[in-house]
Amino acid sequence: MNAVRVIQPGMMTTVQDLGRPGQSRLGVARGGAADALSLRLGNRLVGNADGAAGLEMTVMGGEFEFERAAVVAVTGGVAEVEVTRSGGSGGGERRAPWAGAFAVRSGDRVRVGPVRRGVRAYVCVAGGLEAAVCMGSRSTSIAGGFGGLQGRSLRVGDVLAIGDDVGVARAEGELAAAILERALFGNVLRACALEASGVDPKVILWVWSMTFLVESNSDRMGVRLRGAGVESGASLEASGRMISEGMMHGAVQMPQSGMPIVLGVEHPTTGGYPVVACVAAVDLPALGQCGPGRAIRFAKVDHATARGELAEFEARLNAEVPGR
Amino acid sequence: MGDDRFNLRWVSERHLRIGLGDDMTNETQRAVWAACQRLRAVNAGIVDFTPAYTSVLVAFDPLTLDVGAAEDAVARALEGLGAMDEGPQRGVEIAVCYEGVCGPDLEEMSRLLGLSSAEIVARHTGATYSVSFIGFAPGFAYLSGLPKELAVARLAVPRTAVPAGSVGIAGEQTGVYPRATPGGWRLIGRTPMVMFDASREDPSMLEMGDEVRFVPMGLAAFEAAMAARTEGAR
Repeated sequence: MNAVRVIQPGMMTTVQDLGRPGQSRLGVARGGAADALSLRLGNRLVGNADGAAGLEMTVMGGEFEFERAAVVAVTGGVAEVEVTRSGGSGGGERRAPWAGAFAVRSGDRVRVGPVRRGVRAYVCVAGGLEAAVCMGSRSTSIAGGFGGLQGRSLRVGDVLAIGDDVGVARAEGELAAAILERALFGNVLRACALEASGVDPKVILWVWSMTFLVESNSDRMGVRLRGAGVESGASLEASGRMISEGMMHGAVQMPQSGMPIVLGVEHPTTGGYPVVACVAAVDLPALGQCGPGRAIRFAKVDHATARGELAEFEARLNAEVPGR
Repeated sequence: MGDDRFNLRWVSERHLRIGLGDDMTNETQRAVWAACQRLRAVNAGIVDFTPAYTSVLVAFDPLTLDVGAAEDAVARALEGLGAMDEGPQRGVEIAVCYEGVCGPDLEEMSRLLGLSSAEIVARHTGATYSVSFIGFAPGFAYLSGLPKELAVARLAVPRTAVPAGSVGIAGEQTGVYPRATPGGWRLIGRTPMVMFDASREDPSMLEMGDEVRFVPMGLAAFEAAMAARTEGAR
């Protein structure tokens, strides 16, 4: 059978593609890979279109058995990748590259170790993974309980078919690794400022100057931050809740707790907390790699700069590892 | 920029906020619906739009965005925007069981509001609600029109699990939980209807602009409907 079988799903592994934009009026955020760059790059390495579905692993990696020969790439957070042969002749294990395409034979298992830098790793398979298309996407909405495989994270024994839209795999492993190194693991997130009425200017100054730590209860819906040194309770009380507004991926919300929440890829589509900044699109993949204990701060960029730096990044990406 | 009916403000390098009023009024809400209807016909690289009480947030692809052209296209689409062109409103009836385990907070609310359970149900089913917009979570309808005498504070301690289809009240809002989640709304009833199903052609039971009425159903009918649902899913 042309399929991948889940041997170990790790902490949380889901089927993800580039999400379902255009459904906000139904309360559905775009979703898809929390670090879309890594999924796109992984797909390019194995010869897929950017939006083919792959697996998003969280923190602990995972192990998957291939029931046919395939070309595979593991991208995203940095992790050990091993290919083992289950039983039969020619057993043993071999190291496979992170951020490079490699071939597996029928019966091989790909084991991705704990994610050492970042928080999410991706497995892309030539041909893409098959899952029912739901509202225009194969991605799993954890918040909504739909998409992917039955709207849930994968379990031991789950089987996903491999598609047959196979292109030409690429050999730019080192370039790909360098792209991910540059894009994902810095401690600065570029962001655009917003005029949030009712938020104490001291709080705004604090957001732009503080180095925050990512909290452990962060997830695909939001990255929760903790920082020291603002008399937050008093200064935020005046802001209170505002009239609910449309929310965006990357919005830096200031709830009454006084600690910012940066909205993730499966964010609530509307919300009533003041928003003081929005992470620029070019750094949304890095936001998707923000895990517990990581230190981050925000760097203010204006809108034109944010768009310019994204265009520059994409041009270099397309030159170094072209899409299909 | 804009005329006096709306103002445009870029809130990120890729999001344009259309402000349609400062307060939550019926007129502003109707302008939001009308604006959304018009935005659907605009093809200027719009990726998504999110309606709310007084605004619409429009998302663009930052790689292809031409700021001036986007503003012009949106402003042109909203030209002469009035409350008159929101189009036909659908009427949707939601069957709700207010009995027994379906309405666990009715008794407490009765004490808090000084109304009998029957009076609370009569007022809740007697009103017509309007879907301001769908937001927060998939298929969650922000309903306006709750009779003022039913307004009640949230639970001091939110429940860790509220079953899907629960009908609740929080402050001056009433709504239906599309999915089992934790929640602090006071629960007065439950519908067997599936409010959101991503596999349906129209995933959300409700859409912005709908007129909604809650129709009471007995416990036996509720249980039969739930059993039929399980049967159908098999």
